[in-house]
Amino acid sequence: MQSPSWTSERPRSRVAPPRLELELDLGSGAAGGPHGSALERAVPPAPSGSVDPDAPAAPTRIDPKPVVSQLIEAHQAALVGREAEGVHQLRVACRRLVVWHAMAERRTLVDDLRWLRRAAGEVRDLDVLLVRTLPEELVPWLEERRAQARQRLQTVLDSGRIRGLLEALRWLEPIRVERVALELVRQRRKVARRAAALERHEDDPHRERVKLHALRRALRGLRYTLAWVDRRPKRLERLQAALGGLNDLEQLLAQLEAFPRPLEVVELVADVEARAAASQAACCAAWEEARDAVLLLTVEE
Amino acid sequence: MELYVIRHAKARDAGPGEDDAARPLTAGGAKRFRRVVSGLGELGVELDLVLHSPWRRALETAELLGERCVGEVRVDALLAQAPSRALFSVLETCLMQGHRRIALVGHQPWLGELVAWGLTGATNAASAFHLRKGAVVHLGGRPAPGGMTLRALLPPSVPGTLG
Repeated sequence: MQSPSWTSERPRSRVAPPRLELELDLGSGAAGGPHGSALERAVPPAPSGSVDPDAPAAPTRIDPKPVVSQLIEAHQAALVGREAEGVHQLRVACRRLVVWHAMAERRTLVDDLRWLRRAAGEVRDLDVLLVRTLPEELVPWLEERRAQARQRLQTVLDSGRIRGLLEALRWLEPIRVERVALELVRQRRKVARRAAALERHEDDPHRERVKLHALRRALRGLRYTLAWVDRRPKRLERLQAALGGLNDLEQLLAQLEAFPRPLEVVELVADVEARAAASQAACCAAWEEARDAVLLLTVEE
Repeated sequence: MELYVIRHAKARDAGPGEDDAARPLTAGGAKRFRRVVSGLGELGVELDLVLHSPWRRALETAELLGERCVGEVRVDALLAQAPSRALFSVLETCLMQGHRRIALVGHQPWLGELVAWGLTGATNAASAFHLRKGAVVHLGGRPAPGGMTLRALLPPSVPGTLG
């Protein structure tokens, strides 16, 4: 295990924009290894570019403190039951900090962040469903489930574990910006693996949907990694939005399956199934279109 | 339950006005504790769960100890205060979740009080348990006051020598 480096690393006067990926052999890493798919091995390195000496110096370190502050604020908002945005921000901050810990190669606090994220996610998913136009008979039942999820979230927010998490997050210190490029390579490989699985076409639409779900999660990791260098590629965001739409429909189907009076929602289930199938096809097409660009994403514009 | 009560490794002294919770490990403290972790491995110690205090020196110690953990690493504010029944409840919950080999990383004198409480049902014998920085107390039994037995008390030099 790599030893933790909690103290500040010596700042450099100027670090060249992260070109570290150029030095990485994507075909020889553990993840790409001899058993990696052709697609994984096909992920090319970023094209090299010249560095403008007059350009403003790129940040040399990635400071987690703004996101820690976001998490603390969102925790307060969620604790007092303020509107849905607090819960959403809580989940986003948890995800961003999990990625930061991966970049920092730290294990502590990751499980705690994931625990909090899951509790917030349960509420958030129901919040998202409840802004849809839904049949009247379904709404009170979903609201009751959301109230129960909120109660569980309150218990988590009040726990000694989360009090400890909020205190311990104070000790995180900036890491070198090069870590983002390293993490990006790892995340791109993960996306490539998920994509390779998706592209092994099968006739079973359910399995394809499961693979799209895995791809969506891998792409999210990529997006959150890039967000640490304020890079938000539009193509990736559009793709994520398409996959997110499919996920919302799947969430609704999962809730409908649990609805205690299934005969009352038969038509709705059929309608959502049809929309999910159309969304699934659209997601596959969107991936096909975005694939090459996404697998070439770097920390540079 | 196999409970390993571990005091954080050596930390640097607090500067004037510095928050005690903010003290990081010294380089030497981290190095010595790495040997303790390695020595625990030689002794066959494997952990299902590490629970640690949120204070920086405990966080850093837990990070090093994570190498021996096959399960989760969790922080808990209860480990940055005197031991309470709530802490035993947390351990009981962890046990019910299937975690049988748990390490606690925290601070003196509270860890000594916890050990005394777990062994004797009272905390007034806490001073009998002198835990040096990086020391490991191995307890077994039920996580409740008076419900535990002492299996070993290892000053850091013992697993450190093995590591």
